[in-house]
Amino acid sequence: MTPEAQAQPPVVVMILGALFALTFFALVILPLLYSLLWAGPRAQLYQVAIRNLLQHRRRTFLLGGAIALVTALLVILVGLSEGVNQTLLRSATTLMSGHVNVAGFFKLTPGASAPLVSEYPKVMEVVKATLPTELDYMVQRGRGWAKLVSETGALQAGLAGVDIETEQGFRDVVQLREGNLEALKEQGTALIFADQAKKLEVGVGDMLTISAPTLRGSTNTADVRVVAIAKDIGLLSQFNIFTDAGTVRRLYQLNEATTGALQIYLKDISTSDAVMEKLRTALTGAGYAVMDYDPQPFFVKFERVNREAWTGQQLDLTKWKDEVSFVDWVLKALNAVIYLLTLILVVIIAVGIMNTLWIAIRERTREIGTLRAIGMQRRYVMATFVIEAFTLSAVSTLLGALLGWTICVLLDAANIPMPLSVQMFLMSDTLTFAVETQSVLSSILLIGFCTTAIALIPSYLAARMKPINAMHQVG
Amino acid sequence: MARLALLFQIAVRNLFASKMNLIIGFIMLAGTALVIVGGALFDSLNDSMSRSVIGSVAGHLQIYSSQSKDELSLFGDFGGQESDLEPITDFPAVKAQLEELPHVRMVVPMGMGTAMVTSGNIIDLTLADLRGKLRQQAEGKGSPTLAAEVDSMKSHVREMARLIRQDMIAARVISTQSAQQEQGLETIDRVLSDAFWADFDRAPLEGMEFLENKLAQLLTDGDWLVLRYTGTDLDAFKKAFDRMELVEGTMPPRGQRGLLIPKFYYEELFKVKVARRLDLLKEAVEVNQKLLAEDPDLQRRVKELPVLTRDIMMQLDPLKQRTLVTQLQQALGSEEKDAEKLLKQLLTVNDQNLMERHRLFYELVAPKVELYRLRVGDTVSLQSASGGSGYMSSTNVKLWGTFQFQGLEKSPLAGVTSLIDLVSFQDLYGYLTPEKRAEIQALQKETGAQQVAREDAEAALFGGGAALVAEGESANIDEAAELGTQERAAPRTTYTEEDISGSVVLNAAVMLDDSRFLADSQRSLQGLIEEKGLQLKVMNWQQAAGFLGQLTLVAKMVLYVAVFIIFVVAIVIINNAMMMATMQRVREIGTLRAIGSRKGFILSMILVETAVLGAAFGALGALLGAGIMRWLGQSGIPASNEQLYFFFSGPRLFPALGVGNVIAGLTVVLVVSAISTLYPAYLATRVSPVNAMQAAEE
Repeated sequence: MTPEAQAQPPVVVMILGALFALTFFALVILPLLYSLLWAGPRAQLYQVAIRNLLQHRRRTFLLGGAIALVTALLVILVGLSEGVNQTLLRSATTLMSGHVNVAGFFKLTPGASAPLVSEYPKVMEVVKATLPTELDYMVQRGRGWAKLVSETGALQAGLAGVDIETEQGFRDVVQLREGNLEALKEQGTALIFADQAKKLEVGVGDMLTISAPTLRGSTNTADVRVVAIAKDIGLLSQFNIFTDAGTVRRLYQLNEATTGALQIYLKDISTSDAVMEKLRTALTGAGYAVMDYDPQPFFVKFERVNREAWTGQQLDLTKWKDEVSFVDWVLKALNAVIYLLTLILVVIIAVGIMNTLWIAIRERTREIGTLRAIGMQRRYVMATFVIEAFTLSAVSTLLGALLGWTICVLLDAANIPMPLSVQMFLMSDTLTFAVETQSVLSSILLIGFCTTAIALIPSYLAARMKPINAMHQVG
Repeated sequence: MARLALLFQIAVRNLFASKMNLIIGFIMLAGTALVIVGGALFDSLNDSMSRSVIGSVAGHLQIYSSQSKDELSLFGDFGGQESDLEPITDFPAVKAQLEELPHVRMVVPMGMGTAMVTSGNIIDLTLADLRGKLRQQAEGKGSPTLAAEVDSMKSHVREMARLIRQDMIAARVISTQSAQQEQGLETIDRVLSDAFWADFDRAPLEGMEFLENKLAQLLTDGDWLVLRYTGTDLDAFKKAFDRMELVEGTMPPRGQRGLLIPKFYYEELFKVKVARRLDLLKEAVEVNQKLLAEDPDLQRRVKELPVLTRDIMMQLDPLKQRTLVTQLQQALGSEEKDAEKLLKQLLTVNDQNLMERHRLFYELVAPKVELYRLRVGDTVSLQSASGGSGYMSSTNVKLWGTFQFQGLEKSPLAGVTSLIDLVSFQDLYGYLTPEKRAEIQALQKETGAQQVAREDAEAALFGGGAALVAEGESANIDEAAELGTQERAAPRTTYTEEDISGSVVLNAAVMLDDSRFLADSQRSLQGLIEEKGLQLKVMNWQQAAGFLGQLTLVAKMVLYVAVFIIFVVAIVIINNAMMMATMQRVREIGTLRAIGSRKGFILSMILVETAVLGAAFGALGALLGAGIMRWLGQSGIPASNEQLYFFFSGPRLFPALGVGNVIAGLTVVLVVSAISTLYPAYLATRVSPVNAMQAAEE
């Protein structure tokens, strides 16, 4: 999966991760190097920490277990969120969007717009000239919204008129249940998805009537033959059907040089921001009117576009995420739950760590006093405890992440079917997890940082004890 | 008993002896507060949402035919698809049987569907206005001012025709050539000719007819709007859903076709966009206390506002433009002479001038234009492809008024479904009455089923376009006669009680006397269905709410899972802490054992201690939770976006704390503390006196 496809780790996680890395460097790597290279005996700090952890096996095991559990949980939840994200990416870029789209509106009158790109071959030339290296391939698709009627049922869906020969990605992603993809070359043919076929009670070879209201105020119909039935792609495939490009043109009485959108597929999806800007400059330079960037799907833009005074053609550039931004709330809600839950759990764990360290310090007060009395510096006392917490959390988070990762992979492979109510939120009919190295690392860093950071407080207090008091203290 | 008192004494003594107990106590306190607040919020939300759903669409229970292909889903499924339902057989009998059941207050027939409707077009408005003025002249109320107004409007129409011509030439870039277009151009050329207007002055009504029938349809200006409707017995609906109130207009008289549109939807889709946007900006600033300069979304809207002047400019004839220019020059202190530029100045708003500009707009601009593209009293042509046939069916219905549900005025979810009388619903559903069936069979002989359906739909559409805002009695009937095909048998505008009760019904809302009887009534209804062998299914409001109902179920699930996970981790941590606490007391325990305490005593001691700890901090947590809920219950949680209005059943949610929530919170915390102390207590019993006392000596 390319980088863009991953949920970008939120800024907080990145900052915490960076802080953790810094702390790690300052507290562990530097002292370690220092102790190894210049102060051999002080490497004992680590031995002391590990010895202490091993000595209190039960306590270490429980606390470490809790940390591991939370890390595993975070990895699983983030995996779920990314799974949804990837299903969304796959559905979106197959069904309704390229990585970047050059679409637009054509307005006959200021008040009536249609989602069209007129004289699209010329626009294609500009795109090709602008993106000699970035472009993987480009397709044109007719856009429409229509009612599909069979003998027994009817449903509404988005229409996409495709030139099947040019649709490389579509051919790779769409898995046919029945029928033949090549037949979409012929006039008056359609590809529908399994769920739609079930609702409409049609099979390959059956006829469907497509009826769509046109701008002219009349309703046009076209009869198409179902030539292929494909496996559903997430939940969004319920709202899309594919016909040959000619059918959409006939339906809306459009000429050959007009299409709905140019969908651009890039070699590297992470360049889509840059590509979009490049295209904007190039298309404006070529004399096209390009609308201001509006990160929304095209079908919600009619309302605004219809109220603007211009007529003729304006182009609109969007990225894949914009075209499916109407289901974004699912991801947002899921992420909100993840953060809230993680926050609460981290607080609980932090309390546990503080607690354990308090005990450890109390148990070893006399030892600390003695060590300080024979000349150990404060920072080394502090380091002993921080290193103890750090070692514990490092090992636990690693194990926890490994556990979470394994669970994700197993659950993903199991393809557990989900009830309908959950499908709506996951955008998919089975439980899908996607584990990214990056997100696993951020989980480890986040939990690791928080647990180590909280250890600083008791450690600092331990280091502040006066040797004489500490030695007098009874354990 | 004495032993328990002793144990209790020890527990209380130890409660504050260790810092550790404070830490554990803190976790328990927070946990209890969380369970109580979370649970109470959730229950309140569920409660308010049930009020919204029950009070605006569903009633307590819903019934529908068990022969249906889909399950009933009142808000449509995820993609806004209507559920495919079979009509209920012999609804009047079903209704009578249901109303016999105890606690059933009413049974309201329903049927959902979506129709397409055009939002009206500006040339229609202008022509309707012109027709009104001409009629005044014809009635002998002519005056020089009126004549000047008529002249001004005539030149306005001519200007529009010129614009349409431009548009049609532009359309050649994208569309294929057609005879229809050529005809259109001929029409326009005729309107642009001086000869036409000379004729117009001689016979204005004939001229008007030409303009309304031929010119108006060329302006492809109206948006196609999707109108979601519930066909119902309107009077029964009003009685059953008592939160419903009319905002404008009246209820359609019994026995007449009628449409009621929710105020929210009416404002959102039929009001001139500029005015609506201005209202929303004002509301954001006034009610939601936002600053235009700080909110990126509002910023975007502010930026768009001056661009949207077209709807206004199209409605201003030269005369009105002149007046507006003078007024705006004065109000804005501007020298600008162009009306559109002045309007743009007026609409360039910021935090300082918004209120003033809003007032000016409504004082100066609004009276000169039609603010709504569809007015109460107009007849609307609805096109629907819902229902059995799949082909377009259409009907003309008068808009009698707008309505809203109390507390849900701003909720899009409650404000999206219009109400329509049952007979019109039946027409749109495509239900074939015996006469219609015969008529269609005759037509099928002439041509072929599909061909007819298509012609039918187009004819209906052309009829609709002009009939929309034109004066119902005049233009409408002329056209129906002219275009003919659709209305071979003129549709009846009135109907009888038998028509209502005999109409096709897809589902029905069952209103109970009180929500408390919901589960009982659902069971007794189910019982009745099985006993009588009725082909019906019953659902409660939550199931019938489909996607929305699922939303609360999923949210509930997420909450429970989250609480479960939190407590699992908390148990581990508390367990750990308790274990360490116990280990610190090894000497004490050893001593106790040495002086003769049994293992059972030690076990009880530790358990009672934790229980006391849990009870004490749990109680504090409950107090905290109750405090938070009290505060929230008084101040309320504001609905930060429009969608939330529905879930909150009003602009604010005032959550209430139930006894059940407190009990749940305390139970959970006691269970958690009991579980987390088992292992440490077990360890404590294994302490042998000798070892313990020796260990402490080291």
